[in-house]
Amino acid sequence: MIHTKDLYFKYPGAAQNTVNGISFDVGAGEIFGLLGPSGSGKSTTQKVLFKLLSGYQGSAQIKGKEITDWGKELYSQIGVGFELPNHYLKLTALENLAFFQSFYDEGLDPMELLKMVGLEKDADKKVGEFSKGMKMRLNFVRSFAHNPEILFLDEPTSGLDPSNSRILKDIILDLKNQGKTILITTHHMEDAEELCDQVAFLSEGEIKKLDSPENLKLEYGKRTLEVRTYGSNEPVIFDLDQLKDDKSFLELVQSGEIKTIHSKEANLNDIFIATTAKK
Amino acid sequence: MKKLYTLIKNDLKLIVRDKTLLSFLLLPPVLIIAFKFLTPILVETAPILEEYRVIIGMFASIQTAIMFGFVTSFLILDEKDENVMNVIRILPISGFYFILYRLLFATVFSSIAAYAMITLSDIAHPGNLEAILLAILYGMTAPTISLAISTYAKNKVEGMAYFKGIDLLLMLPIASFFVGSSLSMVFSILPTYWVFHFYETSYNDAPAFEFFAVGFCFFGILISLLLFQFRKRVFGR
Ligand SMILES: Nc1ncnc2c1ncn2[C@@H]1O[C@H](COP(=O)(O)OP(=O)(O)OP(=O)(O)O)[C@@H](O)[C@H]1O
Ligand SMILES: [Mg+2]
Repeated sequence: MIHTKDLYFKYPGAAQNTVNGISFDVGAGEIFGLLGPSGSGKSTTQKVLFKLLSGYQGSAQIKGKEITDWGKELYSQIGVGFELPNHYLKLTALENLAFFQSFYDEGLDPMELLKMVGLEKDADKKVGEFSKGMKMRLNFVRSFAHNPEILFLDEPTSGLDPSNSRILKDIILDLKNQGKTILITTHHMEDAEELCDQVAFLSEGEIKKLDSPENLKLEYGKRTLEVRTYGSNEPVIFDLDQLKDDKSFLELVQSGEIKTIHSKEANLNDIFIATTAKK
Repeated sequence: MKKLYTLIKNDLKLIVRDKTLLSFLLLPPVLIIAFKFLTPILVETAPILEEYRVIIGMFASIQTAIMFGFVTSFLILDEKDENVMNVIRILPISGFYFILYRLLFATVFSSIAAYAMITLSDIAHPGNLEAILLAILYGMTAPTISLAISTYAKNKVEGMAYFKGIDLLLMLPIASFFVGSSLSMVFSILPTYWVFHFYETSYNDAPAFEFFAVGFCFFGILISLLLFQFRKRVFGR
């Protein structure tokens, strides 16, 4: 659904490429996560893909068609959830949704959309009086209000409290179940791990690592087990592969002294730091 | 057509909910009434002004015409400020449609307002055809102002400053009637020079249509250049 090959982009007047030869593929019904430090080019990559920025090099395709060959009809196929809230502040939430929806042939019920993210009570409130999180939730539902096949979400959970963030993630998973293809950027590695089929770590416009979260966690993790006991402040470390023959481990289990047990596969936070660190 | 209706409805909401924009929108009829009633009183108290009727007419008409340009430019500035411009750019219709329709409306309303000022206020009547032609020229100030402000001003505070500056520039050629003929031509680098001189010659029953022609082309070229700049700077990236 989304395909890039050796994609380069340079802002007019900038000294260096902001997107520096990236290649990736997002299949139908997949969630693809673009991760990476602030300023690494995540939003820029998205903007190139939905044609807000022009003048790229290499190939970028949506549904098998090069971006430059798409006209305005592209925008019926895709939905965009911007990084920063953008609404008419003098219009109400409902008016905002209805206004933008009127330019599409298809549309979900605006009130239903507001309900999904807990904004039904604020439907008739001017968006100028919304908090940041409320604006972001409105941004989010607007992105798929015209029921597009492909979604670009730029930090959809930023500025949200844990419960609202949970609600959003459930909606994203639900959209995936409906068969939507989603390109998402986020700084929350837990979210990426939970949502994404594949993640790419971007640093200075280059993809440093691309794989599924499961594979990455194994690749970067240590095959060890860390056990903490009531008796000691120091954890005891065991080798996972030797565990079944490890007498001291079995004794520890039977002793009833165990406080916590953790296998030490890497989490995406560690991988983020390891892959995107600047040399 | 349905989309046009949606756009108009939306813009009206945006204007009505903004005190500044609403008052600027309502200013033209207020100005027309004020000039209609105040000019005779003014001329009576200071009879010398009788000779300057056409100057008062120029001034009154330009002040009336510019308001719609201002309103349009502020609608666009708001969209830039609130980042809505990005959403407009990813709609399945051309974002330019948004802008062009507003420019067209602003031009039409400015023309009507200027025409009303010229013909209804009895300050200085230039003749029927001339009044229509003048109204067209005055109307062309609207897209000029809208585009200049919305392209170059970064925010509404800057926009207001630009508006005052542009207002002053547009009025400046009135000075050409008070200086010697050699110096007068200096003001011809401003488009309203041609408007005002067309007004003046028409009022004195010797309409010089070349003033109209040059003014019309001047505004036409200016608007095209500004449209090009707007496209590049606001829609460009
Ligand atoms: N309009 C612009 N003109 C010039 N340079 C820009 C522009 N927008 C972004 N950049 C530069 O491009 C680089 C990448 O920016 P981008 O917004 O893509 O980062 P990001 O990965 O989305 O960061 P964040 O996580 O903070 O959102 C930055 O160095 C930024 O300064
Ligand atoms: Mg970003």
